[in-house]
Amino acid sequence: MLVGGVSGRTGPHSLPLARIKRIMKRSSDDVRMISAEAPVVFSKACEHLIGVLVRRAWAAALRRKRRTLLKEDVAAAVANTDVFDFLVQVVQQQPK
Amino acid sequence: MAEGGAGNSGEAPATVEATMTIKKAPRAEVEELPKAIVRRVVKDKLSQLASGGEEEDVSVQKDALLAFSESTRIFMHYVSATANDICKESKRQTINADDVLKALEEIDFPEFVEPLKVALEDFRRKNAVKKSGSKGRQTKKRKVDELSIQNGEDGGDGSDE
Repeated sequence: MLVGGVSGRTGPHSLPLARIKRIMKRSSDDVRMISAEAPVVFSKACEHLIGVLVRRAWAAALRRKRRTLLKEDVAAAVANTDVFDFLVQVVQQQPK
Repeated sequence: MAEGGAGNSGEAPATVEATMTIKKAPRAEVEELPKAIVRRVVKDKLSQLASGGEEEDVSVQKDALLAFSESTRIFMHYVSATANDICKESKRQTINADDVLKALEEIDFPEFVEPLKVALEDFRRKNAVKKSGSKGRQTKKRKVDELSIQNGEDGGDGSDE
């Protein structure tokens, strides 16, 4: 089984599978077992999420003629994207 | 006897409970993703984006990195909880890859599903090779239905389709 908890670098999966499995288990009280494949799919899903976030944040930074990604760019990306509603709390900025 | 007609002018019943759609907060056991890995993924994506040879120019503020990390963590909780629900509904005990994929669709990330299926097939193929041990065997595509993590072994010969 690939999920041996050893993986820091597992090549195709960037995120450590054991850690992902732990996070999954803690997401609800009644999670019992997790198939070996689930963390794999998860790992990729997270990469994709980061990809979309980065892309949008990057666009926000470009609009402001910056080459540095700031937290406010991430916030803008979240605010502009409906499906990221669940992230609004995460990126909450102090109002200027 | 005209009843007070149009609307609630004046006395509005004070019993309107605003139903705030606050989802049940997951247990705040903060498992964090390794920052180094998140940073690597972020940088990776950035260099793909800024591939006009200006990648050296792009930097990411620490706070922004934290925001990415946090977002991913919350995303995982969200997807996990959804996948768990889906799994329960099917009266199974093991969350499998399909549950995760369905969860992604449910929370409005259908565009992730296709590339993830590809990655999954890839993983299954590699896994099948590892399991068959000797290279002499053909790699069969096995239907991995409820592959429990507890044991490393699989129950027997995979049924062939």
